[in-house]
Amino acid sequence: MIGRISAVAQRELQSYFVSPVAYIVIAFFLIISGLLFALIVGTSREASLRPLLSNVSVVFLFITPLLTMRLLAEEQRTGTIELLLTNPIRDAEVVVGKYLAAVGVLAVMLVLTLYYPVLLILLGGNPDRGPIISGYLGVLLLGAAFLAIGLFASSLTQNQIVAAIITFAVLLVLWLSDGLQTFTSGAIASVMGYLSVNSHFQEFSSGIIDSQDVLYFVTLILGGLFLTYLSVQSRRWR
Amino acid sequence: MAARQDPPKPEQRTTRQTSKPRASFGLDNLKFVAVLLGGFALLAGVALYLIQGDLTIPVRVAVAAGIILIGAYVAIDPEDALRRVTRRGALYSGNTLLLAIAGLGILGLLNVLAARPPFVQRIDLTANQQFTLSEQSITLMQQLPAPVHATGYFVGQDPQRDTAESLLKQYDASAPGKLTYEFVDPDQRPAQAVQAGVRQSGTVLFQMGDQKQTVTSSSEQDFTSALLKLANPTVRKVYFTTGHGERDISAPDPTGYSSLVALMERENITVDTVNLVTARTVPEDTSVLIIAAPTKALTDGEKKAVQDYQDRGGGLMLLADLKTVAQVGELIAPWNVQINLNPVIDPASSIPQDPLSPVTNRYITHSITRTMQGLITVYPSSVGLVFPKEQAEGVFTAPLAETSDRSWIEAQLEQEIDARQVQLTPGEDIQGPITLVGVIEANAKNQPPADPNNPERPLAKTRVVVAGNSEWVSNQWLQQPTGNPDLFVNSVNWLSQQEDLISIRPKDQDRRQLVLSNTQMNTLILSSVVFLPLLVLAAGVFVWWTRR
Repeated sequence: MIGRISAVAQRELQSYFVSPVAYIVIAFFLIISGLLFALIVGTSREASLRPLLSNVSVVFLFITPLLTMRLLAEEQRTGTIELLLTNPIRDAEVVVGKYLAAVGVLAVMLVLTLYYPVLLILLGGNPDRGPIISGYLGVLLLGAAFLAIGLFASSLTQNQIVAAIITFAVLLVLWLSDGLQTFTSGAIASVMGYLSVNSHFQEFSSGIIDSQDVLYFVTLILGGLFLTYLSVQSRRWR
Repeated sequence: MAARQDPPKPEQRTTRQTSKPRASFGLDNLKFVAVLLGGFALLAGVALYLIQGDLTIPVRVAVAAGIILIGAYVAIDPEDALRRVTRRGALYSGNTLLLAIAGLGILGLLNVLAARPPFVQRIDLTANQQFTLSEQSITLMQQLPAPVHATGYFVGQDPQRDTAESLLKQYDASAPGKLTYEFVDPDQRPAQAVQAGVRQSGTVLFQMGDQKQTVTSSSEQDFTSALLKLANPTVRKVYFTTGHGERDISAPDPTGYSSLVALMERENITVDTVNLVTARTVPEDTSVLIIAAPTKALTDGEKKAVQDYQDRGGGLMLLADLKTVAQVGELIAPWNVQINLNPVIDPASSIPQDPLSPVTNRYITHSITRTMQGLITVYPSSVGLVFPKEQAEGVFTAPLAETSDRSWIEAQLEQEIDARQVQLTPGEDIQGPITLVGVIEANAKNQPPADPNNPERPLAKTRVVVAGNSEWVSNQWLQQPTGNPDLFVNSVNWLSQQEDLISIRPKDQDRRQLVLSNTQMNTLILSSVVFLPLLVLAAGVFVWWTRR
């Protein structure tokens, strides 16, 4: 099983890095985070990545749709999905493999940004190590959760643009659910409050790892992957 | 001979036509419209329920309309409806939907379960553990006798809200199940805020059973102090002296003190009166003795009773106004504080058109005024207090609130003259700033015996709060939006020596400064914004090149 999953993942990663899309998205991401980094360090005069990581999570809101839109939609359009699904490979393995490829790209992006804390130290700063570690963990979890949602959206349609739009819409709702909460009341309000991505991300960038926050993101990941699996399965009789 | 069933012809199997001929083109349209509107109505009903949180009339109407419309669709052609629902695709979709809901439901349940102990784990990775509570706070939380509910009143974007929430999370995590908390925006729920007695954003109300404690700033020190007071409610008793024409605490008229009593009782303070002539000594359980503007002199016996009380470390509040008997000044004479029973006139800072009623919002730094930043206090018809510039060793006296520089104590004020016309007469009148409220503190002369269980207990102190005004906490003035109640309650707390039951050293902020020179900044910008991305693009070009 692992072998088949990694085969799918490798194939997907290859296709990511063969096309110009991945490089452009990553470079674009680095330019924006670089600008934020410079701005923050310049104005706050503090050796801390905390505000940067919060802003980076917003950037993910826009980048995720770009990374995930073609994962399944393209195959559904060109019909290669049938090939994939009639393989001895199982649906679940396809889903996990593609997901891992996307997470791999995310990991590459984050590893490249490790340049920032290294630079801070080289320039004489002494940032608190703890919050940096927890901050990166938070960003990784957040990115992985966003990617799972993006994957699900991509499985719903043949049109990449539609997939990207759906992803963006869902992520936006999750992002804003804190604010939307004020329009609801009762039990629904507390559910919406809990759904807010920001409220679970804040503590990571401060230096706290809270098991509830970790579970929140893991739930999003598992939920997204599960729904993607169901969606891919439904191909068989649609 | 058994009838032979023909195998279904291919056309019949794949066609979607019903076996009955179509009733009419219009009916088909009607069914479609019914389903569409019905579904829409149901969705609208759900959305309304989410927004309103309750099964209100619009919700019920929408849902009912939805059910009726869909019911109509089914009624028009029941066979067709049944067929559509039992189609293979529909069954599979239904199955998938159920699976999806079940799966998400399990995940949701996991989240709910994980919010309870002992699954909640927090790791604080900061170098100075700034998100971890001190030992004292944790022990206190674990030993709380009953659950506490905290309500944080913060308007919209108040940045203090995050601090408070982070703190409350830590308290909750240290002793799961003992603390519940919520946040309320006083702008959106003004009625609730007013009823809770909240007057500024940033107030957190802690409640354990019937008892309440409020704090107005969010720090571990404040929260733990409040919790400590809830956990160990010491009964504070305030006695008002009677028999000399003092203010009447049972009087509900505008000049009475009945509202003041109610205010104190809300702060868990018991209020009573004492007639020092019959009682002979100040009661043992007195936390604070209040002498509120007596118009007749105290007997020698009464004076001695008060002095004995002060000598053993009692708190005294003395309120004086224009009609107060001068003899009462003897109680504070040992510390060189004088009451000048003449009116204070402050044309620069007073109630509009009434210079006899000074107003101020600047106070010295003291535990009484610590939470009164920016609050305005009003002193209708004040007399002046004169505090000495220097003091003997071990004695602390200071004005808490003063009038402006352009004020004075008016030596001769005739009844009919309009106070707005009166001028300062140098030589006769005493020039400002004049003290409106002041404090006196000294080590008590008769210390209680040492307590072997508590060798570090601080010395008992004699404390006095003197105010040249007794109208400022009358019933009519307590209704006005001023800082007077805060000043009064804080004074009573200070006098009963209850103000800081616990002392927690605040954690340092841990700001890691980094100031970069121009070249360093340029290096940073260039490398992060230009070189790093270019590196990635170069990698892309390289890959494209090798695949050509």
